[in-house]
Amino acid sequence: MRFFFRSKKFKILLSIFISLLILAGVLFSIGETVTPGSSVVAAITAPVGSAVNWVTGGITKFFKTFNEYDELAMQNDALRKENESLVSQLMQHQEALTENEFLKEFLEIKEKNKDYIMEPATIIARDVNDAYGGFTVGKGSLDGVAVGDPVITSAGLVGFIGEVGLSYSKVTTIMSSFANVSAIDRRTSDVGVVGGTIEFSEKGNCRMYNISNTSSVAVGDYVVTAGGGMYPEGIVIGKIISIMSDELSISLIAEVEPVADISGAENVMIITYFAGQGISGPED
Amino acid sequence: MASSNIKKKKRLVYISYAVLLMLIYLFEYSANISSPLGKGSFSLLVPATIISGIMFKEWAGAFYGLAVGAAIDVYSQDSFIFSTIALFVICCLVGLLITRLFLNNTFSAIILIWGATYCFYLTKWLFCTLFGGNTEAWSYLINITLPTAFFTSLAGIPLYLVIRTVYRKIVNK
Repeated sequence: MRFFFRSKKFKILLSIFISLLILAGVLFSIGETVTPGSSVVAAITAPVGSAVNWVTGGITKFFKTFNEYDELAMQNDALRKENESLVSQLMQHQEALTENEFLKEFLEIKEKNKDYIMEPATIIARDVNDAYGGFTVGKGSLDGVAVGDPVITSAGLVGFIGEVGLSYSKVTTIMSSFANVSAIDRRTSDVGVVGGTIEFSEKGNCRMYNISNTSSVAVGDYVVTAGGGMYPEGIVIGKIISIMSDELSISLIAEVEPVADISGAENVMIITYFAGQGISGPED
Repeated sequence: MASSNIKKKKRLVYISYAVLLMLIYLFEYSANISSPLGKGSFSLLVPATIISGIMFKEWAGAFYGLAVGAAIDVYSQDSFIFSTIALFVICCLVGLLITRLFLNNTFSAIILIWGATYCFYLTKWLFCTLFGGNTEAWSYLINITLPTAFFTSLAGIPLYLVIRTVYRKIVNK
């Protein structure tokens, strides 16, 4: 061991270690969370990652099809009765529909919310070590994405941009304890804050807390964003599936099942601008 | 002639291990494969990187750790340089310990994989979760970090035995 510490190898390893510590110190002191190397590594791994995603996507679809065999067999029987050319046309039509589904949804949301400036993004990686289901999308600051931008699907809110690189961004989901979304019950207009905890994120859910104990929120109610600050008003977050009293205060807590398929989503939309963005809301 | 063959074989072993790590990385971080959230999650990439320190000793292990750590940090939600530093140091230390302090046998390798995995996850929790301002840091330690470290270190044992068997065959060929 003593010989190792005197060797040239050790000096090289030690100098790398010290350089890394200095880099970490400098980045931490200036509040930067994206290392210069990250963008380079992301640029190198992105094309290979896309290829692997394509392969794993095929495998996943294969097993999904295998699991849904009974349903497919029934559908197949029904389809046999139809004219072959009609089926062929239908298949082509369905393929086209699937391909355009995402972009149509994207356009629909844009149509409904003319003030939104949105950036469609594909999920390029999921962090296996993140307990809150965080993931990385293939759009970054070069595409106008900034920290704090809301991330949605056509169904509802997914989370927000937690970190931005040049060509990629890391999304913090609403299941994370770092998420604090000002929210209202759409039926009763009772207010609360939506965020995550480990307990709920394990079930794929989040919680709405700080609900007044005199409120009339009920199971089955839909929760939407209250607007102001980071999130535009009226984006559906999820459905209340249970209500309990908060052990630490006199308020209520509701377990919310997100309407967006956070763990199964392939594409998301990042809202890079909306009217009223940055104007402080009740909780954001 | 014999020395050039040994060099070739060494290069093949190093390159193939790098390819193996890259494949594990790409599949583990694939957008289409959602791992279970919380207690059931584990990583194969972390023990595979630690095993590089055990198999190829401190020098190569440190560089595998450096490369894999940097790659993990790109898509990590809570660390931006931690994994780079931690895996670099851990793989180097593991490589040093297996030959210079331990007996360089299967049992000591398993102990080192176990210890190094726990060391990685616990320091990550300390720097990225507790010091990172997570409001439920202690709950995260009990419910996420410790079970993940346990399952990951458990997965590391068969992984080590498989990798060792395959590489012994390559070297002896």
